[in-house]
Amino acid sequence: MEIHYIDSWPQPYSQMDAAPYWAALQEEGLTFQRCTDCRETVWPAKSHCPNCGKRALVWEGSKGKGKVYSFSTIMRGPTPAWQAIVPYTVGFVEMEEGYILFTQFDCAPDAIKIGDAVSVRYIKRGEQTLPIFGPAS
Amino acid sequence: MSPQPVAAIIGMGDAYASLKDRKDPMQLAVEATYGALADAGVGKHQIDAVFTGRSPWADKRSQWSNIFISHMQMPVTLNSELTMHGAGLTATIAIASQMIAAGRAEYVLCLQSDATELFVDAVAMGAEADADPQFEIPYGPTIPSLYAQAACRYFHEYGITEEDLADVAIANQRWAMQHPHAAKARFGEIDRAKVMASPYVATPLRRWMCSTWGGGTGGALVVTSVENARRAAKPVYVMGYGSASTHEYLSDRMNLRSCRFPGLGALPNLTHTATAEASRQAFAMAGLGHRDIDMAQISVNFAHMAPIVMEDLGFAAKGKGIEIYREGRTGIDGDLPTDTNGGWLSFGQPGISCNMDSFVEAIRQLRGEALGLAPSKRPRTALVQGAGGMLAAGAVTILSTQS
Ligand SMILES: [Zn+2]
Repeated sequence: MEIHYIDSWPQPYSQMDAAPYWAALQEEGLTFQRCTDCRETVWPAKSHCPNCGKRALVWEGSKGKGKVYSFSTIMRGPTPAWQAIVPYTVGFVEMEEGYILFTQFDCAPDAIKIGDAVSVRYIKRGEQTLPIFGPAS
Repeated sequence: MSPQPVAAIIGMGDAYASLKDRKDPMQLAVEATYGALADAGVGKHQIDAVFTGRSPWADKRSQWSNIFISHMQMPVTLNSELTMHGAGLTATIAIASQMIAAGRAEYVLCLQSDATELFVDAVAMGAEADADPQFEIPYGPTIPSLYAQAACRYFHEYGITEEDLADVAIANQRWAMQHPHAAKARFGEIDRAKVMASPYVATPLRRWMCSTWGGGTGGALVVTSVENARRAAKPVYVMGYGSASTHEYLSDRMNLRSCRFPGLGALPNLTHTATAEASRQAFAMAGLGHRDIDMAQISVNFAHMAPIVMEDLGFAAKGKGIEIYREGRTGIDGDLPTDTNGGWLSFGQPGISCNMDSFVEAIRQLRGEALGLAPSKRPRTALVQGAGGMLAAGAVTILSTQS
């Protein structure tokens, strides 16, 4: 596996299951999967529902709202591009639809805490638009 | 019925490298292996199978175990890598024991070596190795920041503080100060103020709450039957083992809705690990209780993992693991001396070989051959716990000098 960098930003190592996710993001749409058989939300993207095993997954639009589950502010970045933007905060958001998404928080490091309401915004890194989260608007 | 061993370790070899005494992973592995073979009184052509953890960070060629037996000119019936990170390496003893019990091997060699900081830029490689390249890497996570997600939740759910974590660093550093190969030995004794004054690497983890890389190490073990061990000079018996693997990437773990292992707790959580299930299996197999364990060597790459692992092992209730450290129980006069070489926090994590360092330390202590400090009461049993990945897998082995 080789991670592809554009303008020093690592691009997603895209898998076929998630192609619709990455395509929707280019139009600033946040999507996730739902099983039409058992109705569970499914994340990360798959071809079969991990809950019931059926090949019955469809893509739905997310409202882009959730709560901070966990976070950490990075003081030492892994590469020069990341080091240039420290401190930055990464963590998990519990989405309203019931799945949990890893992301970056567009919040002041001291201003974020577990349970905070957050909503999506978008940032382009290299050729890919990514969802990040900030204080709910 | 009294506890019965399932296999025995009759040979142990270790090797060390530093910036002043550079050795690459193959050199460390070979040195440790010849040490283990000599210790066991076994020739390389008697080794039926070889197991390692995944490729060393400092030599990422795939099929590293093939490369090793090739380099050694040591044909075997089976060789493989257990890829569940450091836990896989800890579980090599389990696979060796199973082959021996099945009559398919008489002698099995389990080994690992690494020398990350001597050969690669580990900070740059760190997250790429263990984070999801599709859904996580595009956000620039580092390994400390991924482990910090668990610390963030652990603080929130159980009221643990940074000061509590300082006590773990202090306890481990006391052991490390006297160990000739401990990476942080030169810094001497530390206190809460020193830990709390160190800068954040990734909140809430400060530098003294994080392991360091630390040179290079190699370790090799020769495993055989309990019957063969009766003729050995210094056998260490395998009383029980267990392992569990729940995910590779944290995003998968966070979205796990159910798990066959009750020890993983109510989902989602980041405060219970596969070690809980591994421990359950190992204690059940050994027929021993927690009070029978004289010493522990565990996986503490970040300070909050010390109480979390102690809880998963069953030595404390959830949220109470820190008391084991606060009460001095892991120290030289404690009832559960732990990480007696300084552990990953202070001895260092030379790479994937850190899980083998835990075995080497356990066996040296059980044999009364510690390179550093020894517990004031000589241990007769030891628990070795290996974790790996981003809270991904855990393995536990219970050892005893008594058969
Ligand atoms: Zn389903």
